[in-house]
Order: sequence, then C-alpha cells, then structure tokens
Amino acid sequence: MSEWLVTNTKTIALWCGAIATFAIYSVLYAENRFYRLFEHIFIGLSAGFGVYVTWSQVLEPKWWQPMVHKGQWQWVFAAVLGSMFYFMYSKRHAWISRVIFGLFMGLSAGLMFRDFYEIYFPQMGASMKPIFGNSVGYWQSVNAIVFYVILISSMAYFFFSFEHENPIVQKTAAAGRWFLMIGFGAIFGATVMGRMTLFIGRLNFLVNDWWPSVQTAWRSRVFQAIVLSVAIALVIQAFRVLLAGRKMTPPSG
Amino acid sequence: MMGSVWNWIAAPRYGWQFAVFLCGALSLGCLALIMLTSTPPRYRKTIVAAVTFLAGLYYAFEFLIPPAFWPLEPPRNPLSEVQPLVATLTQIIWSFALLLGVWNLFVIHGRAVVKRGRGWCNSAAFFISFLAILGAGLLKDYTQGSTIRKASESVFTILFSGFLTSLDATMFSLIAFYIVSAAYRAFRVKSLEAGLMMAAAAIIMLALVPVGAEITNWLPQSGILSALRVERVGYWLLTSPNMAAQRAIAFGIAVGSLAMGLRIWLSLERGNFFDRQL
Repeated sequence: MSEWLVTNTKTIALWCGAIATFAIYSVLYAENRFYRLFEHIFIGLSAGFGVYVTWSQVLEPKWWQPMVHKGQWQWVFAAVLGSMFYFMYSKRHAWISRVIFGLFMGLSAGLMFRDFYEIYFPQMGASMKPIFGNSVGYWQSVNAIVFYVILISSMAYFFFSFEHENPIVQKTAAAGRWFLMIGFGAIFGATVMGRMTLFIGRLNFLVNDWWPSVQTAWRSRVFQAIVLSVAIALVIQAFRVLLAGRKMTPPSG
Repeated sequence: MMGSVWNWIAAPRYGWQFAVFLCGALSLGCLALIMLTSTPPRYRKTIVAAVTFLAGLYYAFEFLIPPAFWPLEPPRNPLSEVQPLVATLTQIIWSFALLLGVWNLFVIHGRAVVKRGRGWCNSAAFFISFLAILGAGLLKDYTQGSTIRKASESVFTILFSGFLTSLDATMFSLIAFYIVSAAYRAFRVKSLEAGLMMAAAAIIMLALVPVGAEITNWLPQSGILSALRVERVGYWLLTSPNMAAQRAIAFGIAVGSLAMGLRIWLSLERGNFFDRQL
C-alpha cells in the first residue's frame, strides 16, 4: 500500500486536484452537496496547514528548539504571555486578553512611525517628478503634469479638515472624484483579469495536466467501468432533480 | 554588577538546572497571571493602557532617538540591537493566538458532528482533512523510519498539491464570475463618474487580453497614433492616472493610520472595544 502510494503520488494528486476543481466550479450551476463537502475540506486543510506551518516554521525552530535543546529556559515566558489570549473564553477574566492585545496594538502603533517614514516618504519623493529639463522628453512632461493634476485633485477630495466652500477647491475635489473613479475602474479591471488568469490556470491544469492522465487511464477496463457507473449515477441524479423541480413548481395561472 | 546578574540569569541551563529554572519561570508566570486575575476592576483599564503605551514606546524610541544620544561607544541605539529579539518574541506570542481561530472552528463543527444535524458529514470532513494534513506534515518531519516517512510525504503532497493548491486557486478564480455577475446586476452607467469607471475597467480588461490588441491592430506600431492602441492606453491608464490616484489614496491612508496609531498608543481611541467595562 505504502509503495503504491509513493509510486502514484503525482497521479493521485492530479486526480484529486481535478475532482476538487470540478467540485468548486459546480457551484456556478447551483449550490450542491459536492461543493459543500469540498468547501469544508478546504477549510479543514487550510486550518490544518496553518497550524502545521506555524509549528514547523515559527514555534518549533524559534521557540521549542532554543528552549529545550539550547537550554534557553526564558522562552517559557512567551508561552505564559501567549496563554493570555485564551482568557477571552472566561467571562470573569476576559480583560486579561486585553492586556496582550494591548501589547500588540501598542507595538503596531509604534511601528506606524517607522512605516510612515520608510514606506511613504520615499513614495512622496518619487511623486515629485520633473516637468522640465534636458533629460525630460515631451511625453514625460505631459505624464508628469497629468500625474500632478490627478494627485493634487484626488488629495483635495480627501481633504476633510474644512468644508469645500471655495469654488476652486470644490472643482478640484470634483475632478479628484472623477480621477478616483478612473483609478477604481483600473483596479476593478485588473482584479477581474487577475481572477480570470487563475481561471485560465485551472483550465490549463485540466486540459494539459489532467486530460492526458485520463487518456492514459481510459485504456484500463476498470477505469471505463468506473466512469460508466459515475455517468449513470449522475444521469439518474439529474433526472431525480428535474422531477423534484417539476413537482415543486406551482401550477401557473 | 547588574550585568553579571543578568548574564547568570540568561545563561543556558541543561539537565536538572534546566528543569528547575523552567519550573521556576513557569511558576513566576502563573503567579503573575494569578495576580492579574485578582486585580480590582478600577485598575484594569490603567494596566491595559500602560502596557499599550510601553509597547508603543519601544518602537517609537527605537526609531526616533538617534544613536548619538546614547552614551555608548561606538555610537549606537541599544534598542535597535534587541529589535530582532523583540520581533521574534512578537512572532512567537502571536503564533500562540492561532489556536483561537482553530478552537472556534472545532467548537462549531464539533457541535454539528455531536448533534448529527444537517450537513454533519461536511463537519466530519473538516476534522478529517484538518487532522490528515497536520498529521502527515508532522509525521514527515519527525519520523525516522523510511517507509512511514515516505508514505506521510506522499499523503502530504496529495493533500497540499492535489487538494489545497487546487481548491485555493479555484476558489479565488470563482470570484471572477461573482465580480462580473455583481457588476452586471448592480452597476448602471447613470453618471459621469460611473461612465469613467466603466470605461477605465473596459480598457484595462481589453488591454490585458490578445483580442484587445487585435481590435486596434490597424493602428501603426510606432509614431503618434500608436499611443491610441488599446494595450498602450491600458498601460498608460495603469501607470499614470491610476498610479496617481492610488498614491493619493495611499497618502490619505498613511496620514489616517498615523493618527489612528497615535490615538491607540495613547489610549485615546473610543468605541465598543475600547470603552467596554473591564
């Protein structure tokens, strides 16, 4: 059994991937048990994999190994601090979990100063593009002007410190809203196409990886019998669903 | 004197010394927790605020105080030297929180399995898949015997490459259908803003597929008219107007998060989480 599993790992993984893909796409027709089952398998696998990765990449090498094998007993305090999260399940002492959450909130708040300096200052510098100069071409100039206009007007739209009563500010903010819409449209388009790339990737997997494996397996009589059985079961199920739907449909008129 | 005491405490311990120090540290930790549990309600908010402030103070000082300020030779910031340790400690403590989410999943699905309600098989499948990938992963890492190790590696590959990767990619690709369907149902071009958004989205989508390039293939590859080719317009939209708009949003978020960070750090933030009686 073990030998067979090791030899056929790739093929089994391929078939599991194909079945999982079909199961998830089956929801495009209608919500069904097959989809539900694989949805739960996905949650279980993600959670299990998360726990495994947390142990094998964080807790085991950075906490357990130094503590147990290198004699650094002080790391046990990390477990005491970590246990504070679980006080949230006690009604009486739930506030103790606030202490550890407060610690993380404080650390994140302190990090924001650094982030502001290290992430946004370079971006601010990079936004100051030259408009004129020997090395600046005609298109670059135009692009830089467009960039400034959009940046300033979009920022004007987000400026809420005072009311936009001045007509110049009003117009600039209105233009900012239009430019933001172009930005949102670009994000929407890029997101849709990004997801489409994933969809094409799945089709590519089914057509180029899985289908050759089906063609190879089709030579076996056992496989043909399995496919035939599954097809018959699916047809029967489809008829049952259709008949149930017809019974449930109220008479018109 | 202080240094030598610290070195003695921090020195690695082995054998019975390790056991004694570990038990001592655990007892100390438990004692601190017991003291926390018996804290009167009027001090609780102060403790949370103090911990939040002190934690924020570390990174603020580490970043804001220049190395020349510290009386050290060569000039350096001692807080920066312990930053890797703080980062590791943070990562470890945060890792302990992972089981919070897993515990919630276990409670919900465990209840469904025990009650044998509708769809309990799915909850059982959740437990099986959770334990299977965790068990296979741990077995492949910790077993010495080659047969079990190879078998667990195979099971892990099947579960990870076969199921998890495929399910992940398929689930996310599914969103494409829902986004388009939702946009088709809810989006109506009734204003200039909506028109601009739809036009930008359409151009970007056309620019990213070969058929888009085919539409304007009659335009020359070079020269001023080539700028009107869909793929070029799409690229320009992404890198120029979109970049400027994104940057304006990012600057707004940056200023907002800085202000928010300051409010949280100083415990000035108000709301359900912060105002609740402890």
